[in-house]
Amino acid sequence: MYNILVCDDDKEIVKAIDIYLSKEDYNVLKAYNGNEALKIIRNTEVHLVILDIMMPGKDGIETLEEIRKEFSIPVLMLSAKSEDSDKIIGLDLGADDYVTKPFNPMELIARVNSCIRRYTKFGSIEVKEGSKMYKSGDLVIDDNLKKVMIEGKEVKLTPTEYNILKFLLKNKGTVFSIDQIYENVWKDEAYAAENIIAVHIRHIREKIEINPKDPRYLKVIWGIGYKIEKID
Amino acid sequence: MKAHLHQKRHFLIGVNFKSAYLGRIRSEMEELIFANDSYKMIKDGNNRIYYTNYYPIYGIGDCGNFLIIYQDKALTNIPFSEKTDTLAEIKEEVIKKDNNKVNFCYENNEYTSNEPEFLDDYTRGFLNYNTAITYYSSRKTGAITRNDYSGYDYVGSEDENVIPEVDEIPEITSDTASYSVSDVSTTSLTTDTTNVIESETAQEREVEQYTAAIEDFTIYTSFITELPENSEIALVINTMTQLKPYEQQIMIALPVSVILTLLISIFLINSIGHVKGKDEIQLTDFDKIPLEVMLCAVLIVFAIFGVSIEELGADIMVSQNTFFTTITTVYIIIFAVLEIFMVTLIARIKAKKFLDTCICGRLFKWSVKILSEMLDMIKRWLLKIRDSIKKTQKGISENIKLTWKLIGAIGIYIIVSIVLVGIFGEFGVILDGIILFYVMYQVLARVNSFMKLEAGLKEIYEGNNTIRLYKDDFTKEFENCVDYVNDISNGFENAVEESLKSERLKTELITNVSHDIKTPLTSIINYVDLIKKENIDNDKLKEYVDILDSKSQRLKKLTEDLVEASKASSGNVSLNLEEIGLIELLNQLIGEYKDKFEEKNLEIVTNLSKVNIKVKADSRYLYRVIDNLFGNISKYALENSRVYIETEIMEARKSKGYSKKYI
Repeated sequence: MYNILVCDDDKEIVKAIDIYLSKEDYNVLKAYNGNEALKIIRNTEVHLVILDIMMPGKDGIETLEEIRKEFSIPVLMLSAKSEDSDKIIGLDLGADDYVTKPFNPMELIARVNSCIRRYTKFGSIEVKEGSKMYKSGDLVIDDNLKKVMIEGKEVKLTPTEYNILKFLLKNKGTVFSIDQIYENVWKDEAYAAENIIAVHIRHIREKIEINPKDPRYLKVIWGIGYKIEKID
Repeated sequence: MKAHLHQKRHFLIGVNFKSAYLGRIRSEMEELIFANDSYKMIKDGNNRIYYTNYYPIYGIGDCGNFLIIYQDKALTNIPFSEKTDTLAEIKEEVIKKDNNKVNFCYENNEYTSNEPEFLDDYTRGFLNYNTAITYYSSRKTGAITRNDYSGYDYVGSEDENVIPEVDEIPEITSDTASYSVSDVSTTSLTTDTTNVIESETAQEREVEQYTAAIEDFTIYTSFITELPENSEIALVINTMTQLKPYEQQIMIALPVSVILTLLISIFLINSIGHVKGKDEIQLTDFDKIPLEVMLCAVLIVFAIFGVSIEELGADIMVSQNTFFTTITTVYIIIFAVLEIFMVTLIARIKAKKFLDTCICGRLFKWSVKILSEMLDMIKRWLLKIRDSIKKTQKGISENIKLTWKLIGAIGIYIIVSIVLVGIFGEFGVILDGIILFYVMYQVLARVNSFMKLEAGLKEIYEGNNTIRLYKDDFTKEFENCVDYVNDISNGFENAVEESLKSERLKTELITNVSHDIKTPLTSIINYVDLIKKENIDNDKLKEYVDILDSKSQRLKKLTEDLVEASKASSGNVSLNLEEIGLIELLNQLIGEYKDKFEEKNLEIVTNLSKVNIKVKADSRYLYRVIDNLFGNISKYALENSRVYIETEIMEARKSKGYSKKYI
């Protein structure tokens, strides 16, 4: 049982999140402002904090700063502010994820699961030298077993999808155009590759990403190509 | 050595010295005729003897003695003493034997000399030609004058009548040495002796004209051939003789010093004005003193030292050493001053400040500026006139009043001009010119103001609302205009700022409102979802919940779009422009939508350019444009139809475009 603290000044939202997370067998603690949240964190073992930004009194950003001074527990920010600049501020201050309101309940649950796995069970997989394993963050490919793991869970990919993902992960951080991916994976000159690759990429994204529209690992650089984000 | 020097001197000074000395004798002969009581005079029987204060000949010094006799008068430079108070004694003293002296005598038309022959000839020729002296004697008083103006009495000065106006006198060239004395005497005799020539004017004034020629004189002279040590010529000759042994060294030293001077000059010219650590030519405060002042200072120094050299040259008593030491010092000072002047001059030229650092240059620049401004003004004025002529041609009948005013003004001007010229004559023309110039200046100033006003209005018209006009640039009549223009400009600027501000506020409002909407919306979406997850048996209720679900999702999308739309409309979107491949983007998006199209059995027909078209755009926004388009296609296109995706490069508009159709 993991303790998850949900902090939002809107009681109905806290309640709804409580309902969703309880179904997933989490123990939910509730707070309605920053000070309450801090009190609970100091007194109880908390495994994850879901924190709203716009709250009366101590707001989410200040609360996050306080938490980060004492604890290293994962924090998921929740906010109606959807500007890129707001997200960047939150992530810079040490938040682990950022979900904008109104959120899709399933996405929220997936992100909570992901955070919990990352910071508790999963830890980090050691990549032995010489072994045919590639990784970026919690995305791991074991080329010997032909297995793809995301946050410790195996994902089933078709052979083509597997090859594309392996190629991108081997060269993580580098952007490749459709033609380059085709030539490297098919070992053939690109001919009418066009949207075939794009379709495959979308399928991979749907399988490995929580929100395929806002991918964490497989990023789309529109008009240029694709890359696997380099995450330590 | 001594003998050598002697010969050399004789040769060097022969003609020059002789002509100077003979010239002196010649003038002493004239003096004798007009000799008066200002000289020391004694009587020797019937003869009167005058003692002159003979002064040294410039550059040669005291170099000879003479005794000149004319009629009953005699003149000598032998100082008076008891031993020299008769003609015989004086003559003895003059032609006394001396190794260093040469004598010549002219007695009873006989010329004798102990000179070498070629010098002899020269002396004879000189004397014969130059000794005819005309003078006038009053019949009443016997006073002797040099011309017939009885009022004047210029004793001792030279006169144009000295040379007799007689054609028969042969032309004497510089070659007089070959001219024999007998020839001269015959011609001279025919012209005059003591003949009395009476002219009408002379008779009226009771004046007789006389001409004295060489034959009337008896001359005893002696002059030195050895120059005095302290004479200037001797000084030069001595120095040259001393330097003679070093001739070879001088011949080497001269080009060496010339080359050295050149090298040093080149180095100096190159390095002038450069200061360590600075690239530009540096001018010191000294270099900023007006060039004219410097030039005056230099000229003053030159004048002072130049005069002192002259003085020095004149003072032949100076010893050789003193002479050269002084000259060298003076030259060093002069060259030092010159050098300083040249250095600052070169520095100024190098720094391209030559004109700025001299008064004349500044005046020149200033006048060029004034001139160009005037030309500019005239040019604009002429253009304006051309325009106004065109306008006037059209509107002359309408503006008849203005025309009359103009004609009246011209008429008044003409009348004023006539009056001015009538009263003041030539001066009136100048006055008239000044008036015309003044009127022209006033007119031009107004035309100029008008042009500036037009330029300012044009700026505002073109959208530059920060333009401001300054009253000082305009004539009085335009002050109100300037105020109006500035007000308009101010108003525009304020209006633009206001509208920008209100746009910003609007965006902020919308953003805040949408945030406020999002919070309750989150609850709605979440609880609708929770309702859906409950097992509902009632079909109607299910249907209603579905509607709630889809509409709340739509509301979510709308709030997000609202923020974007208001941002875009207020210009708060910052675009991150980069080169992106349009074909690549289209392929990526087709990949994204392929499944959705296939769900509705939409067949994709692509006709994309083989070349990857590069466009400069913000990829996220361009993506959203096409994403929206594809989203709409997938939602609203008729099922089982075809989607055409084509790209086309439109050359005519020099832009790349793409078109999509769906059927």
